[in-house]
Amino acid sequence: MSKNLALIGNPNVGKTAVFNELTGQTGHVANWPGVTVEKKTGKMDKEFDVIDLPGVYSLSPSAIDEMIARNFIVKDKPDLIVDILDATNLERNLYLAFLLKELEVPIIYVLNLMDVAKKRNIEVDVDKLAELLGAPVIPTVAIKGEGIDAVKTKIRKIFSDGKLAQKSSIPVKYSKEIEDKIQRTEELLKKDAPHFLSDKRRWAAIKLLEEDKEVIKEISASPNGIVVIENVKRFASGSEEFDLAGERYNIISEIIGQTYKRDKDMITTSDILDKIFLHKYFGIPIFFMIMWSMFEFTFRVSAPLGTLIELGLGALGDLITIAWPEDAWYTSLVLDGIIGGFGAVIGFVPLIFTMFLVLSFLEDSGYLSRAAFNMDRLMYKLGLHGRSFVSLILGFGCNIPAVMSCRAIESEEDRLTTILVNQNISCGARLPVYVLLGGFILGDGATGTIIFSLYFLGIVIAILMALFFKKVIFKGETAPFILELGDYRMPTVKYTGIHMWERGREFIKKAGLIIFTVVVLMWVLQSIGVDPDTGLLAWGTDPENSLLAGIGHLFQPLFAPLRWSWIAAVGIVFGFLAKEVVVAAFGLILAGEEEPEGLGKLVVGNLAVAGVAAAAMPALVYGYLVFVLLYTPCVAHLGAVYKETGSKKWTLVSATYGIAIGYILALIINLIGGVYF
Amino acid sequence: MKLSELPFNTQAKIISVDKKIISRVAAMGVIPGTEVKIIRASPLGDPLELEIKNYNLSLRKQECKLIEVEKI
Amino acid sequence: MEIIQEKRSFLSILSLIFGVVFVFISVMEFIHIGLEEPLMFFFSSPGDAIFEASILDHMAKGLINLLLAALFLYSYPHLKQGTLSGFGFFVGAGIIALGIGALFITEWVANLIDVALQSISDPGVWEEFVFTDGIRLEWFLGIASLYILLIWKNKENYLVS
Repeated sequence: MSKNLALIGNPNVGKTAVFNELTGQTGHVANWPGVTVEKKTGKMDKEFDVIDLPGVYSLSPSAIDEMIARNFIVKDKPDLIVDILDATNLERNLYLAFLLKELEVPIIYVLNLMDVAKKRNIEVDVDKLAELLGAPVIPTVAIKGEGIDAVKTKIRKIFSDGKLAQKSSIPVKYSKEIEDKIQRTEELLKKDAPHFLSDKRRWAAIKLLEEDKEVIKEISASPNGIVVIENVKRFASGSEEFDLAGERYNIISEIIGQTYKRDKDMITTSDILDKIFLHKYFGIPIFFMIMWSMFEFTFRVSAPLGTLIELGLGALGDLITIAWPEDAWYTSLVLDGIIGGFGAVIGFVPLIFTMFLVLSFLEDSGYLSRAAFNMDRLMYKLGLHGRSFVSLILGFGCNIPAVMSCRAIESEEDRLTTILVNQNISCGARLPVYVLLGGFILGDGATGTIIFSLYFLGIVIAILMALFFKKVIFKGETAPFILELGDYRMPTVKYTGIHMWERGREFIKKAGLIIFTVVVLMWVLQSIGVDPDTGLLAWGTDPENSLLAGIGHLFQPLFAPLRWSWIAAVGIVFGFLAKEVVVAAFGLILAGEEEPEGLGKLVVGNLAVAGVAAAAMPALVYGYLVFVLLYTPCVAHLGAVYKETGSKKWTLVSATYGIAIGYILALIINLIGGVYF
Repeated sequence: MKLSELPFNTQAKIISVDKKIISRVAAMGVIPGTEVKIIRASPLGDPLELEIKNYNLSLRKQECKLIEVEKI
Repeated sequence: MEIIQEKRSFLSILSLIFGVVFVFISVMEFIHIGLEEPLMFFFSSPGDAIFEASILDHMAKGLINLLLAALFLYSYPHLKQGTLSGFGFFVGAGIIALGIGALFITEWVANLIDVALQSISDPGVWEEFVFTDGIRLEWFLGIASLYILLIWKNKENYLVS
């Protein structure tokens, strides 16, 4: 049977790097507290299952991610806990270590970030630390793979010796006063609730004294549980939580004093950078500068790769035209369906990868928590939380993980609000549509700026909706803002690359599966049509009479007030399945037409119903882009909203309000832009 | 005095922490007896950045009002 | 901790130079827009051919360089006084300048490659590229700000407690 290893540690200690090095898998290293909410598993040596628990500071029941970690340890009983400690900040990291010790589980410690500690003249007496903690301590630099072999060797040895680091189960001894209370509670438990957490009775006693909500809830459900609670209240003073925290830190200070030396006066690069990134006057302008530069960068750097792919596909198309019979169905499938439709999507792969590269870089650098610090006041005014800000930022990549990352937000109201407004943050899949059409509003040179304006509009709508939800629908208190401003780290090429690849891979998978299926479906729908002479369905009719056009014509009346053509409607309808296929739909429908200046020009030429003046086209195109920005990101997003809120009502709200606002704004833009005159 | 009233860059010691937030901040090192210093406020005035136990922690003024400190 | 007495004037003059150069670059970016174009921007309807020029992009870059200039100029009096925070601000501004410079350079290289690819079918694109994007002043600054990093690496020579 395989053994379970659970990795645990504070956020930002390089836990995911340890995970990757142990399992040899690629993973995700983020510098933001709370990103690793998903449970991640991997294999070490084929016989160990390694589980990456969320990064947590404590095991209190008030936060979901801390509960996930705690429940896993208490209920799933992993065979060994690997607690990762940050050598540059050992004192606070040991607090979690002591909470784990109270659980009396087999444990080993990994002392990570030893390179940074060395640079700061921090000296750690590792042997002494291991002695005082009563469990092995292994120094590592996980990001470079240093010390990982020692960790693996230790783990193997522990299991082959069959001793499971027994020493670590020596319980922490507190002062006599506290110990007395713990003992009395234990006796009460033994007498009245003998089956309640019988293997962790001391821990249960401590939690009862601390008035831990979760343990109280659980014991209340067991027979005589209420009696225990009542009896404990007789001798408990109510300040045990307080006293225990103090005593833990006293013991920790003792250990630190014996094993840890640091230069007090050391100024770090992080201190220097914070002087400017968090500056009173410059902090916010710099924040905006960084955001703008990132989008500009994404757009420019991916351009040559996109051009290259387009050139390649063009050459492939020419080759096929020459080599294959012109009227065969498969020539049409490959030329119109795959190269025309799917190819249009593939051309944007570099763009999406660059976007993820930029996001991964920001995340790994440690700037995101500064952004939250700079923006919290604003978020707070909107009734949101600094943590919401990071979820919103993640939405720039993809709204689905962004919605899922909301689990780290403690208050239910904040969480629902953040989930519901996230869809307004423009994800990577919408970008191809902006790039395709953005150049036709204020000219080619301003494409970047147009795109920025759409992103900005999304943010504004998100803010307004947050205000609406928070002030009108949920009127709760915002959770406290407790955020560690960790050190800046130079993102390594390896981990930023892995990080980018992991997210980009999702896009490729989606492109490979959903998008490919949808594109082929669209091709079939386009190839089958109603023969105008016979009135029957036939293969290879005029595109105007195809089923795809039929769908467009069916939905077009809905968009008639916006003066959008059936082609525009097809883009919207299929974009609901996945935004990536909007461009593909255009590529497919217009595959037969010739336009030397590219697909974008062709689309713009076909986007409006007849009678819209050329001068009003920029407004109409912009209105279209605004609608693409604001209506439901995709079916999968709705699925994620349903999963996270567990409510059909909120899922419906998410779907409808986006469409409504998008529609109204497009109408207004049309009005201002003179589409109706 | 309250932590929210402490002048910037002044070393102080925590005397008490309100029960409302103790379970949340204890793990971050905010407990009686610990030394604390306010380094700066966010550009918009709130939250505050504190130096505590050799690392940087950010708390809103609202929470800082629940923490009693004395200058040292 | 503070800056060594003898190094104060050197660092403050350096930051002044950086500040002035960034002001210059910023002005260049704004001039790039052309004197008449901003006016046209306000007085013509969208969709006119005038918007071929990337007015807004230059404006954004102009603003970024202005911000960098402000950062350096702001640190000037603090460096003159020799405070640690002045030193930190100066180095921080240098790191930002380096980051932005690196960003612009990557962008420029990407543009170059894109133009090279496009020129396979249309050799005319070179001419436009040379005139609009041929030489970028940010390069020199990207490279010059490396010097600030060098100062940071040797901070023991500048700081005294």
